[in-house]
Amino acid sequence: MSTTVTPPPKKLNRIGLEITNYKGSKTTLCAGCGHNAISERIIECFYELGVQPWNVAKFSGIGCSSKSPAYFLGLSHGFNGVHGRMPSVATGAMLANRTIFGIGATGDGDTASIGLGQFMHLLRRNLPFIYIIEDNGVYGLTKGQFSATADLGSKLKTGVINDLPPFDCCALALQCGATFVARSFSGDKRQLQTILKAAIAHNGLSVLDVISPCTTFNDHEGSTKSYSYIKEHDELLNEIDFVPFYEDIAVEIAEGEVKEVEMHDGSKLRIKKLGRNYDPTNKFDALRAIDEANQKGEVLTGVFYVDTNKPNFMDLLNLDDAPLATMPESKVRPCRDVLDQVMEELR
Amino acid sequence: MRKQLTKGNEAIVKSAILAGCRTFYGYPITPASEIAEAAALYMPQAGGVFLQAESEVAAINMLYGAAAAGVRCMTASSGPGISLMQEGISYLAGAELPCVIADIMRGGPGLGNIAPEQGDYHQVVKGGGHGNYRTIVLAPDSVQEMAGLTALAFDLADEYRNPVVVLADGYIGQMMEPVEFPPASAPRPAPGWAVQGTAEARRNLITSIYLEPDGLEAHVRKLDAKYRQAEEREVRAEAWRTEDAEIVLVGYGIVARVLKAVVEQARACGLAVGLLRPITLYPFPSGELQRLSRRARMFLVVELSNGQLWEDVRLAVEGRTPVELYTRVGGNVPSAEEVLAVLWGKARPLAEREELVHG
Repeated sequence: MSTTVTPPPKKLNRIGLEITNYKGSKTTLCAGCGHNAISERIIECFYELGVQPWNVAKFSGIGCSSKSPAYFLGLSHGFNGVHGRMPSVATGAMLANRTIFGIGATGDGDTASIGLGQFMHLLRRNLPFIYIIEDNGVYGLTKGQFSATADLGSKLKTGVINDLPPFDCCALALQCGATFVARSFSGDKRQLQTILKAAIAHNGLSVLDVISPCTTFNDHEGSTKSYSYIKEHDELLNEIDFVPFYEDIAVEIAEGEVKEVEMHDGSKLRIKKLGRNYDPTNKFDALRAIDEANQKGEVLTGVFYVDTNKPNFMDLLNLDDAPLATMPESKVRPCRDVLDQVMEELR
Repeated sequence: MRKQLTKGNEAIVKSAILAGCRTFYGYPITPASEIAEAAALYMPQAGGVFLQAESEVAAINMLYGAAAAGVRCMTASSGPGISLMQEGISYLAGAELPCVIADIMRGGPGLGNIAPEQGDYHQVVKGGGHGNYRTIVLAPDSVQEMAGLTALAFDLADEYRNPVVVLADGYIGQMMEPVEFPPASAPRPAPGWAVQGTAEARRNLITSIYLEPDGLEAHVRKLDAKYRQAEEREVRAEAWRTEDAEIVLVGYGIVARVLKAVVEQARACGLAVGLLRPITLYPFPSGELQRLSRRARMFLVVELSNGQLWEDVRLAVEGRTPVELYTRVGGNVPSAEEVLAVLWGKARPLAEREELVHG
């Protein structure tokens, strides 16, 4: 007697897509690269929240991190920009078409060295955009030079010791006006997922500094961005849970001192303090917590800051709801009154 | 000195140090990163300074400062990085400051790829930045020349008070060959015009701004006179078996190495073929090409770019002789057999046409 094996029914998300619809091409990064884990979290979160992949544009600059958009959201649009200028490219594209859901995957070279100026101006503009720094403290693509996020005293594979202090991208983001600032570790699946989901729900600029060890050039003894170093020094700032707007609140996080932040789409980010007097809506607390951890050589991870009240850049610019890119000429042509007024002013 | 097996990119740094360069500012980029790596290793050993800049824009402006302070200084990059440096190079040329820039070319435009190409010809040889200026451009075809021309670049930069570029394709940068390094040159005293922080140098002013039209015109004319002088005195080219050549191949860098093999093979087939290899791309060996055009019935330019060198050869020959073109781009290099086949294809109609005329 023959038996027919029925494959299990495919799991669909709320817009009827399978997880394979959110995958990209096969990664060409090194085995064990933290960036691959970040790509997987992006795939899972966009799938689980049912984001329409064709509505998403992926932006990147130059570096190993900037190759990673090829490895997630294969149905989305991709834009590989100039080294360090990705924030400008993203700003240009998203203002031209405000219906785009923008996500940037970039590195510490792009962000903290060549593109520091572009990064800082992106922060102050509060563009609704997810900016993920795949932060390994090293230039992998040119075979292992220090980046500007490498810690003071950190050692390269060649034995060279870094004698300059690092930029803390989260502290920069806080000071320059980002409205969602978090740090995670590529090896912490649950925390990174939760943060990413909250960032997807946030209507403003989200900066995610994800420590993502480079297995080839920066995963040795003496490195402060290696898997073993981060595992030993990862200090959780808070325990977080994310509840999408379409789900009832299922309490995964133990009640205690829980602060609930309602995101723009009605989703809820639930943040539990971990034994410290910490308020994720207070910028000064966030800066102090980051600085204290840095002084102690700890890698503080969690959601540092959320501000859901600041207007985003589209609103500040009074952009029409319809994308400029597809607006018919009749709608952009100035009306008679405006033309008359211009002529009058020239008299 | 005994020969050392050296990588092209490393030869640049060793030669720079022997030429008295003690200042290197750069940013890593494939296929030029070994230059910065070697500089990071050797500069401090020689009592000099290496700094990994935050970008190529920063690196070239660090050179602007170092050159103004009167030291021999250099940087290195590849196409995208050189594009970023163009603004600074224009300022250095305008302020008449010497420096050496190595460009190890890769594929473009845009991100292109990291395979060897010669597509930076226009942006380097023609200036690339804004305003009326030129850079002297040297094009090595071997690791030995990477060393020799780097040393020459420092001397020319000082003599003409102008940026000098060593322009090599990725092959020359990445290959290893035996090199005989020249002896270390005698230390050069800081030039009299430099900003030295002394009472004597107090009046020295380094600037590229001339607000009055007449002042700027006079300055541009002065720069121009320097370039005319370089055109008269500094042209370098290698003429290879051109004495009796009826067909002259033109190519530089790795291409010239291939073309030497083509010359041998073509001559074995009975074709009188020679090679002219420009070593200075600016000033360009126009006079030598004009001289060869008296005998030659055809020029064939071979380059790893889309006819950029071809334009200069045609300008030099001024229509006296047909100038044919064969290119490979994207990281491809033609084999000698490939070029020979092209050469046959172009030479045959030429021979037939002449039979028609003379027959």
